[in-house]
Amino acid sequence: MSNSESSTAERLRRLMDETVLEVFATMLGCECVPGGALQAAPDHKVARITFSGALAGKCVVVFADMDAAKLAEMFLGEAADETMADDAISELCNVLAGGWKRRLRPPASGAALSVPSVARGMPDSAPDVCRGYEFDGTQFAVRLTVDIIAED
Amino acid sequence: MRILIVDDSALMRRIVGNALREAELELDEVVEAGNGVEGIAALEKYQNCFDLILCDVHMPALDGVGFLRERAARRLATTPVLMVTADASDPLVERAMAEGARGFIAKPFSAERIRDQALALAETA
Repeated sequence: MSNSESSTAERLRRLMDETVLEVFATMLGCECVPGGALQAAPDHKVARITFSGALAGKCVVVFADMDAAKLAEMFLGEAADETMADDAISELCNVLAGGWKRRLRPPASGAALSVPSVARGMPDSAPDVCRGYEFDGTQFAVRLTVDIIAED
Repeated sequence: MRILIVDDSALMRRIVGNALREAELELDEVVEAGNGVEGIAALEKYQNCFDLILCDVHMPALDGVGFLRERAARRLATTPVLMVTADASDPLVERAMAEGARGFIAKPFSAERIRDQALALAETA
């Protein structure tokens, strides 16, 4: 990786750190910080959103089952079933993708987001940014793949 | 007061509904719909008697813009609509405003913020 690619990846990671901090503080009233190293596993829940336009790529959020359920419980303030757990990581992926994109410079910041999807399995390999986060004893990973990014 | 929440995410319907129930609104009923088609069905079932509608932008079957168009075509566009989105720069938000939405709330939002915006809009109805 060249110095330029490395600094771009560092900036994209920093912008995701800011986004994660804001989203958890605002919606869940808790602190979420970089940390942990969630190992990809075939039974993990994977939420995915794609970017298109001046930004092309994807944002993927990876949770273990129990941690997805805990996220849903924190959103709702009560026990959550699997449907709610899927909705929770789908919603988190949606808000993180939107918040991260908003922090980019135009025209990339105006790129379109797809509807989020949730599946069980391994996330895509070799993302440009792979970051673990921790909140309330729970870990998850965010993986960003950027194929095209156009910024002024 | 009766409020309609149109969102394909059961989690978001619950979060928004809980925030509104905790607000100082004289809330009689929160009706939920999973997409625009169900939203139109709810308007017809309740004879359009809602004080406020909160509507997601992206939904299967009929999205938020489609819901606004369809309710206008059926002469049901009397209740203020607040769009809910994770992407304020989404062109669909602008189109929703052009189709009659009265405002939008961008995620992430706190329960307090959605209560405040909903209350302000409901008071104008």
